Amino acid sequence: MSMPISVTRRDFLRASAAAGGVIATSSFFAGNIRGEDKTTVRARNSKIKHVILLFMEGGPSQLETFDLKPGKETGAPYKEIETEVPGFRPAEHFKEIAKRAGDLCLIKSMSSKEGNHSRASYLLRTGYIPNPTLKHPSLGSIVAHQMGDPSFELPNFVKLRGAPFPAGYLGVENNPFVISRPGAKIENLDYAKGVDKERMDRRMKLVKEMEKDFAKERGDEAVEAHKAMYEKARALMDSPLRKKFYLEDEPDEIRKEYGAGAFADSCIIARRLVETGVPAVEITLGGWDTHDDGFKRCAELIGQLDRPWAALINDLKRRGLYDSTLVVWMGEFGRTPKLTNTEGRGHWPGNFCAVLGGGGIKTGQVIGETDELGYNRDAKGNSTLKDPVSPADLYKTLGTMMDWEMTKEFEAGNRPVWLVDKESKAIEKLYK
Amino acid sequence: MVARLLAFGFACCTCLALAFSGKAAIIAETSDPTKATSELIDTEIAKVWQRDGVKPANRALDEEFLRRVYLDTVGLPPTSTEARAFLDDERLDKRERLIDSLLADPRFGRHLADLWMPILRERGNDLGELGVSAGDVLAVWLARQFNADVGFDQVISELVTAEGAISKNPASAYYGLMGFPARSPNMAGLTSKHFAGIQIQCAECHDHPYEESWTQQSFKGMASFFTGIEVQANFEVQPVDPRVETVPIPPRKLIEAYAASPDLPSEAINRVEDLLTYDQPQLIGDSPVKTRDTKIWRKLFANWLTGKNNATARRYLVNRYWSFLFGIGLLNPVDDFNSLNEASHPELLAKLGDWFARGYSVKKLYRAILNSRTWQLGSRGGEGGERWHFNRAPVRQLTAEQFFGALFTLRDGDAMLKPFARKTVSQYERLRQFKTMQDMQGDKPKDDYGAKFDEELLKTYEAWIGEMGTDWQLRRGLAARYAALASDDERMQSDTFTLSIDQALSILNGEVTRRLSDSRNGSLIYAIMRDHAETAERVENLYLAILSRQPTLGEKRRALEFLAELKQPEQVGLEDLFYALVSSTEFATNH
Repeated sequence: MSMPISVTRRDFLRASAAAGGVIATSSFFAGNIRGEDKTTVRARNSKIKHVILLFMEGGPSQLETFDLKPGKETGAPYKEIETEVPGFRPAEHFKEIAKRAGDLCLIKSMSSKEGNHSRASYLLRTGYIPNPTLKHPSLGSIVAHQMGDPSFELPNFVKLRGAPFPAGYLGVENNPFVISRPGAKIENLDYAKGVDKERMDRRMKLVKEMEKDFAKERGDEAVEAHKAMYEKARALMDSPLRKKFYLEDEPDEIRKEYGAGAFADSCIIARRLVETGVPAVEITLGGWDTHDDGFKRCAELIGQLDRPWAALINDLKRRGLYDSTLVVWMGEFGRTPKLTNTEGRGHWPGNFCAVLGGGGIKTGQVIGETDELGYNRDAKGNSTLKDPVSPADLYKTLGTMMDWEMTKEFEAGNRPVWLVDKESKAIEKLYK
Repeated sequence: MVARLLAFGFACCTCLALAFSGKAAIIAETSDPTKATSELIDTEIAKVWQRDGVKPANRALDEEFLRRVYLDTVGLPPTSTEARAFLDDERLDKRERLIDSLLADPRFGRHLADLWMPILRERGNDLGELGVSAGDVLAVWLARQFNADVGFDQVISELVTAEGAISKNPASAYYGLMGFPARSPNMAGLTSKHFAGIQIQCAECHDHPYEESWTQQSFKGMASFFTGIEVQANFEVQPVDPRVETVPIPPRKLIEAYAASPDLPSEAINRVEDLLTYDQPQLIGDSPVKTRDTKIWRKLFANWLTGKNNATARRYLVNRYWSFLFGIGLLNPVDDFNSLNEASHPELLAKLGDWFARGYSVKKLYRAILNSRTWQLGSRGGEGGERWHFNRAPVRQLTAEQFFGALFTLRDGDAMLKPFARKTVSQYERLRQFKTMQDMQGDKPKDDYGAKFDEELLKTYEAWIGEMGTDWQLRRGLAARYAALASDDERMQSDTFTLSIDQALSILNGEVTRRLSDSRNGSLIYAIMRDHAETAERVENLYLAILSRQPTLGEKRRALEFLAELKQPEQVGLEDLFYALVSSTEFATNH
């Protein structure tokens, strides 16, 4: 019963203001908090059809992963691996990823000002600093909205481990579907004890009857919205595609290639989902907040990460999916060059690393550079970081490569918002 | 860990006052002080019907009124006993009587707290245990204020000027819940949104696109009011008990000297920038505040919020409560007052605001609205009209708290609560159990939590939680988990029905629905079958308990046919009926 959405509220207000500020009350419409037109052009002009985000929670150390300073006072006691790509010299524990250097692009100059976990995670997941009066969608939600098919049986954004992150102004239909224990039985996806398909059908038939009267007398808006989500949920419950959430029918040799562990399982599931048509998957690997004992802990974490990540790339390539699937590795910030006396490091948003691959981007290159000790500014406070990339710049790059509707004005409340910060600039070297 | 919050300043009052300078006629006080206001509502609403050629629905039937008034005052639908008592009552003034008794019910305060908490704490902010603990005590505190009908101006003032540990003064949790690190610009943005209904936050980064006085410069003035606040959370002591303190601002020279130190961590850099940026409180359109006493700054801000000259704030407050009762405000979005956002009924909004500001009694405001003809319209019928014509009662999605509260009334006795109560055990209970175990073992404290125990603190918290009671705690716990699946706090301001796929799955297949729709001892079905021998009576009672009404003849016939054709024990069919009824839109909405 709200006003047709062809004219947004703000356009309307602007027009009214221009016409002398007279607002016809009959055109007033009530609080549609997402007065945004949900129909969107989904056939984006891009080779990229899927995005897999590998999010390293806690702030992975650049000095123990991809920006080592061996032999320096700030460096880790790790060796570097020389690769085919100059400047791409990962820590010695990245045995498999080192072989894939030609399929990757390393950014050593990610830079922000947010050194708090929750604020920085928000920034890296959305491209915006947190705003208490507005919620931005995360990368997966944007991709789901821009590239997903709303009638697809599976959710357009699946998050493996980690907390839910709402899609904000893009609406709940673009929320992540969270699988907290990948590979294990998904909560509430199966019929409850004592209920089978036949009984559920019987129950839903009863509901349908009941809804008819209510809709007839009170309008069918609420009923339709209510019904639509239940139907979507039931379609998912009964869908043959739901086996893609699990690993039972995955061949042993593939499972061996990825290795063991929750992160490895998540990577296989991500590939299965992408292969089925899911546009966005996020995988979380936590534990990177290495204030103490960083050398040992980072080595362990890389041990969990290296093989599955490399296997994911190989597997996608074998299936001809790597060119249409962008795989992004990043965390919320880096860590202080200065070591603590417990072999740990503090939070350091001034420079950190991100690694991109697939999706047809220009791989085999390194962007940005820190100084010889791993700092981003000199003693006088002047920046020494080469080619700095802000999180917003990264999102602008992703948006450009995927042809998101970056000039479209969305609405949150009646405030204008854009998928990507307009002030940011894309890293052209990645795609030109 | 010390996090510093910022406060803000406000200067928008002047321009807003201009934008809303409609003459506010004085509403006469009669012997029944809310009657004239109910009439005012009806007159002003009817004027617009007439102007636009809209026809209202008929007065709601008793059973429609009944469910709606319960949901809107105590947050729960009536039990079968409560429903019968009202439906069988033949007194002419039974609606007024029911409204009065519901407003006096202690569940009223809890419901109002349930409505305000997602607004104040911005559900979805990931504050972990801190969010749970601070949120719990703040909710209990709010419920107390609403039940005692403390003037809402005073409630605002206590929240905005809150100081001390949240265990001692739960109002302090208001700042504790803004997240860490708390920054004064955020405090400015949130406080003004929560209590004045204006969205100045965007002026932190750019001048407002059409509100000329909301410049970045004026935002700095607003944010400065909160620069003297510090929120400390000592994560070493469990349960976490943050303190809100007012601290003097160091002289500018000192801050600048500190900023020059080379090893400054990133968080300190940001804090220093805030301190240098937000150090001159000034209300929009007013002159700068002279005193450097940061204690006074927040008081000035609270005075401005609830002051006589702030017509916008009181209109917003009335608008907020109106939206609780109608799903949308007289101006929408509810908390976005600006000079271009026009109310659907500006006169009414202005007059209601002025009337409300004489005492800020939320119960009086509720009484006036609930007794109005407008609020008591049916949700069917009428001719034409948009939602903002208020010519029929809107169909509103239940809040998560209402929904779970409603589900849990469908039980017999408290045995059903047990399996769920365990899952919503609070931090304090876990600590208590842990501590008891430790005491029994006689060991010195293990470093399990890396935490120290503060017995006194634990007792203070337990007293607050004790006041909350099992039902409310359970409902809050389940609602919070459910809402986290969508994190859509703004649903209440929305006129659309939102449900995420995880939420739909949790209702279709989740434990709450499964256990409640069962027919074993302790369930509603068990009790109905025990108390009624006839199948027809059982069906009637099921409808009455779940939908607060009798089934229509057609519904009864269909239900009986369904049960007869099923060829299974009757409780199986009743379970199916129960499940279907709670899955219906009628159950999931207030209408």
